[in-house]
Amino acid sequence: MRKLTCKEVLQHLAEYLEQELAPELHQAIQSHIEKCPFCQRLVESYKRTIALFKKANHIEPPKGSKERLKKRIIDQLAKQTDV
Amino acid sequence: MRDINSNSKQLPDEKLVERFLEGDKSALDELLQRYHSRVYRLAYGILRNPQDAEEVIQEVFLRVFQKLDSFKGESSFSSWLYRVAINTTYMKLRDRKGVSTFSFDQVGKLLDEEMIKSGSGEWVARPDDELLTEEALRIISEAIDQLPDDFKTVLILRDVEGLSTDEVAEILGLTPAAVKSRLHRARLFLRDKLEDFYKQLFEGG
Repeated sequence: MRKLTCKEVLQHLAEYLEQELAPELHQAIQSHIEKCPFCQRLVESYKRTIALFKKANHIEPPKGSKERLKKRIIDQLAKQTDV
Repeated sequence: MRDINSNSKQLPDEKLVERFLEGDKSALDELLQRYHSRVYRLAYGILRNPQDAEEVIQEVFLRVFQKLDSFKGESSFSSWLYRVAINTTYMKLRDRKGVSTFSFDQVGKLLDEEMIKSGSGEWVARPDDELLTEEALRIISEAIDQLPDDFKTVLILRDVEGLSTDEVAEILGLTPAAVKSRLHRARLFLRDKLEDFYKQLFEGG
């Protein structure tokens, strides 16, 4: 199995985590990460960044927003029909 | 493209559109139930302002339902809706000034810089709840503000809404490779901004 550099691991990291790589490359990256503290930290911080981004964007609309919108749509369509 | 909310009990979006056009108002409830929060999160994620996001969702859904009878079904309803949402959000952005401070090229350089900046000190895993602190959220919020808008859009659609690479590519008119590239670079950009935080987390200061 070909030995990879840390830079190659970084380049393929997203696809590695999504399990989208060819089995041989996936295996090579996995073996590298198991032995490399630098890449272990890279993987951990990369995954945590995704989790943080999700958390930061986990937002719900203000209360009543959907009902106001539904009313506006119905009113607008009623106007269109009248015309 | 698959229906984002598909499960065996749910009607496909396109069927709901048909029913709505036939006068079934409950189909409107269902479509809003499926997409109201999603479109709000997308608009808010890019605009970072609740009032603007609220205005955008009103505009998006009014426009979509006004033009529903011209929806040809050439792409899925969700792709069409997301495209209208993104265009409307970008128009709102253009009304404001000085929003995006980072260029596409600057984010591109980060892939190389990442290798230099990241330390390789002792790595100690900590529990997840420690990560999700106010401080980390503050740092990432500031970093998000510096991302170019098209990078934010890809991140939100993939990492928050959970759309596939192919779905995002169809919505944005990009190749799947371009979506993957933007996603990876945007994540690395945010990760880089959190480097000091991670240093503390992994190395205990």
